Amino acid sequence: MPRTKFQTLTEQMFYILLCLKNEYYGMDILDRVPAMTNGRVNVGSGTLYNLLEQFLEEGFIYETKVEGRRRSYIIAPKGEEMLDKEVERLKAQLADYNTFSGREEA
Amino acid sequence: MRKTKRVIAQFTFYDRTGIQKFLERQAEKGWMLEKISSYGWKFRRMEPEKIHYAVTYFPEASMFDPEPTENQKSFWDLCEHTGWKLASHNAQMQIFYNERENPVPIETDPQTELETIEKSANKSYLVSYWLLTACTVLQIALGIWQFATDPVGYLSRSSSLFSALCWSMLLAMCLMEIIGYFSWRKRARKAIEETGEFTATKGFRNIQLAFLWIILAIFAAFLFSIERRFAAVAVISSLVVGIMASAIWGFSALLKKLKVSAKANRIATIIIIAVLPFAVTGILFIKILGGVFESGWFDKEAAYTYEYKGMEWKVYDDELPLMVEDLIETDYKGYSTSWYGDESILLSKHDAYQRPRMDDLKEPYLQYTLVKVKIPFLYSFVHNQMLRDFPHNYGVTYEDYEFYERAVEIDPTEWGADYAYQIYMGDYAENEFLLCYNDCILELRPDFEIELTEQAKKNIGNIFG
Repeated sequence: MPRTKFQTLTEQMFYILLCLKNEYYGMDILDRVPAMTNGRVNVGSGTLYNLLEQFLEEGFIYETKVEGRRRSYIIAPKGEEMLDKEVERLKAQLADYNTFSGREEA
Repeated sequence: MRKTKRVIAQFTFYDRTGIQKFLERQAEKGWMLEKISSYGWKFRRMEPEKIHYAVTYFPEASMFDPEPTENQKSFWDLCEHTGWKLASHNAQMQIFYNERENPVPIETDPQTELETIEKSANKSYLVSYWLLTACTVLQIALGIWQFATDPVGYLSRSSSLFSALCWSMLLAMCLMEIIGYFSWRKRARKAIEETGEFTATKGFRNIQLAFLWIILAIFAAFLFSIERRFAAVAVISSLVVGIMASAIWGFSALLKKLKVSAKANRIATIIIIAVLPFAVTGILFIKILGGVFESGWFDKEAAYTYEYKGMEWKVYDDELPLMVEDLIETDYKGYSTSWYGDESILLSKHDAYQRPRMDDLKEPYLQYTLVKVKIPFLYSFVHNQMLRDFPHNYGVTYEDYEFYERAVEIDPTEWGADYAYQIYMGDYAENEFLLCYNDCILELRPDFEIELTEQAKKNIGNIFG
């Protein structure tokens, strides 16, 4: 479903894209994301399947290998852009936090 | 102890929460889901265990797929990687189980989860419910039309009432699914926007199962209430419909086994659905039942037969509540009496005929219709309907026409009735009466040679009053 919701990325989308800076099979992502986040973020298999489909449709990732039912993916420039944009947003958010929470505490 | 069992599923299609709970309870009782299909869900005996179940939808899948697609299999692989093993799947619905203690759910993003359910619903479930709704609405409209043409006849036929009940219940079931889905979807979309959480689904399984049992119970009551030979026809017809449905499923399943593509299978199945019922009804009802009718299986049993002008005539010997003998003095013994009609829980409507033999046509005949109202609430309605249909004008509406029939209210007391009407054609009073008694209405049309004396009227009042 092409959607306009990729304005911002959910945590799960963020880590899937981040994970795909290296080429991985779908299954690896299921293990990698919890490992990267110390178990804080988990991606369910159904969610992963659907997000990968949507990312492919949007051109955020490429499919690199299709070996029967095993497929591997890697991030595309458009996906990198999305990641960067999200990071900028998070940085701004953090900066706002520092500015305003610091002032209020003082 | 039984090793397997089958359960009528009848789950609301999008009720993933309810199905999961149901399956988890079954596992705790020692039943493991083996296969889901259109014929019910099959369970296998196992050690009681706490297992997690997950119901997901795979919009790309179709009930006509000869085998799971590569995409579907890679989806299963991903699930298996997190411990979710496929229990069974049917069309879009995929059911997994997981024996780990705290498994990562298959769906961790409510937004995508809702989207896949919506896609599956739009692709198949809703389409079939809309089609079924259209069929039921058509059937109900047909019933309303039949009711409007002959309300008294309609209400006195168990079959009409039974079919009205079945179709309305089916319509209610369809609407429950459709309205339930859309209202859940509305809430779910809002919840995702506001809290980001998935809204648990709630199905109508218990209500629908209750509906099914009620329909079955009423069907059984209906079969026992009608004559045995008609009950046999009803049972055979239901069996034929059942066999036909299985044949269609079987055909589609066979094409799947032969690895016919989903598209070709869908087209072939639709053609079969469109053609088979007509062919079967045509052959069965015209050829076979026609033969049965001709063989006289449905005919009333005659007391004896006689020949008149080279033809065979039947004489019946049914018991009638009112006979020519109650109205006039006669010692004629050749009457044939017959009593036809229908009876439902609301009304009974019977036509009575008392006719002389063909070689004695000078003897007077008697014919009447008797409607018994079992529910007092319906009495005035039936009264009005029968009064409306009492004069026979066959669509002629101009009242100054010399043969225009009209019902004129007459004094009911000598009939011992509450209301009485007589047909008049101009100033000429015909020998036709509509008599309303406490719980029955009599439309009396005796031979014009039968002059109803005060005694005869009193006799009628004694019988029906």
